[in-house]
Amino acid sequence: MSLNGPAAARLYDDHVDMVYGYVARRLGPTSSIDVVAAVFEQALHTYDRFVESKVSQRGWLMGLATNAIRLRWPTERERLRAWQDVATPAPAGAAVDPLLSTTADNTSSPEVIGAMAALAELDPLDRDILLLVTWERCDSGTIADALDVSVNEVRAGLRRARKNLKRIAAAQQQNDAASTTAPDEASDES
Amino acid sequence: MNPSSSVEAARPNVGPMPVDARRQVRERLFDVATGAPPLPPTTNPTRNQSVKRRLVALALLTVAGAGALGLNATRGSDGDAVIGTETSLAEPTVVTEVIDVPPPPTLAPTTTAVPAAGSEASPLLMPVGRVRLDALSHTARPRGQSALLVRAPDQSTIGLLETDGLAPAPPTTTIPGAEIDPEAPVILPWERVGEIRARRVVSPDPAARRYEVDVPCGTLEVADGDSFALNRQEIRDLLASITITDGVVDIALPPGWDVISSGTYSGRFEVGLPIEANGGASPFLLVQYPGSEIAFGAYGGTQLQPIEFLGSQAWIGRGLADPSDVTIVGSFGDTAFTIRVSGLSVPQIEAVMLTLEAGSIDDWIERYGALDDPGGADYRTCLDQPEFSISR
Repeated sequence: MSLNGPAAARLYDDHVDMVYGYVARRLGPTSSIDVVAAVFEQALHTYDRFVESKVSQRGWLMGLATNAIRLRWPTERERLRAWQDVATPAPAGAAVDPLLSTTADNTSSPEVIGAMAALAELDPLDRDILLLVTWERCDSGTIADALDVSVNEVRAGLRRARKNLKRIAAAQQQNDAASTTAPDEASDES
Repeated sequence: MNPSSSVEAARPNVGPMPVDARRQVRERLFDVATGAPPLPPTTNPTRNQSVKRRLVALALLTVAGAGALGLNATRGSDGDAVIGTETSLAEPTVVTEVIDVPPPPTLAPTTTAVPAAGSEASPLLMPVGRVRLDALSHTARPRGQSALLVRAPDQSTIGLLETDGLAPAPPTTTIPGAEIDPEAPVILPWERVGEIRARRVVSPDPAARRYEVDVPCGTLEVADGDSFALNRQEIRDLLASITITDGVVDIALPPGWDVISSGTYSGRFEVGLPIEANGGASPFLLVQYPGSEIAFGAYGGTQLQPIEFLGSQAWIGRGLADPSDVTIVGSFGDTAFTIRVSGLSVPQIEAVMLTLEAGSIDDWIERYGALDDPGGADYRTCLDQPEFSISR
């Protein structure tokens, strides 16, 4: 059973900014509009499944959006690994696509860039949980609905994500330090 | 600042959805909600210029040299067999919509409302809604069949397929002067290779070419690359590594050989999607094997190379006679798939896959009818049925 008419319009109007914000934060604005369209297209087609599932509407839509984002993992991975470029505001006076103006004022410190690169190495479920908590301010019940896991699994996933993020970021830092000192050592030897 | 706090601090500030985009998506959604086929957004004069530029760039990227692509989807309401307006996307700019704006499938995580393709509950991908199909079938797995896909040191791939059954029929003898069908496969005499006997089946049809290994109580076939020489060294090495004891086909792979995939499957679900490419119809055959590895889908003479497909590891092979004939073998979740197309690029194939949705076996039956019944009594009266065992 599809959802249509005024109810469909209401679903879209009430939630489009929430879905768009989530998708744009993770994939960037370039492809987010098409992803949002795809998410709502599926939402309308599969509304009966939502009704049967008894999950929260926000959780259900976030689940659909998470699916759509995961399908575009190469795009998200690229974005996380190149966070320095993503977070750097365009120079003053530069011609900027209005759709690209959403990621301007983020920090681009080495810590943040390292953390975002480490985020790309996390298990997909853990990454989803961490971003739904830290970026979308979702509670554990909503995340459980979105990802079809229990609330306990959400909590465990969040703990795991934080721990692994710390471990990966530290390892990357060590690697970076080793690669920057290597040329000096080579010159000492010569 | 710890990394989690750094991630939180990096939260991009995203405003509301741009008004133009919001309106345009809204228009498309209401078309969908009322059952009409989605309008290609590129026909909307209010489309944002930057979006147009992106679409043109995508068109150049993905459709270069391949012409137009479209999925003919005829959707109807319940009770209508196939009705509605046929949407044939023939303009290159429209093609980008197929690639850039697919109905989302659900290949990875799930919600209770959104089944994940390849999961136990929703192992299949199917077209969204009622779609005209060029091919449709379900085949039950033959009893006791399993496959193996190995890679030789020269990076060529070789498939092996064992099927339980009765002992092979005795060899036929050719009567001198008898009329021979020139198209019929020619079975060469058995040869001893190491501890086993094998023979070559030669045919003009690549699908019929194979090596056969003499096993009790069943069959064991080996498919080498279509272009490779008869009895090439790699085949001889592979056959020489086989020993058969009480039906167990033990393969002691020599150094440098790898097993890419092995296993069995429960059923074979096949759909042919009507795709328009290069100004004409182009077959798009999707075969899915729930609960299986890729060994079955990969079995045959097509040589496979690794690629990334929809963000995951997959394998691609091209036709010997026509390199535009493409086979892609991969898996989503616990379901293996094989795609056979002609004249489509990998991004175009990915685009078509993105138009599919996850569904259960019951969904398949509801849409397409009952499954094939393996039927009949178990014919495996012979004790030592073949099965693979790999050792090094």
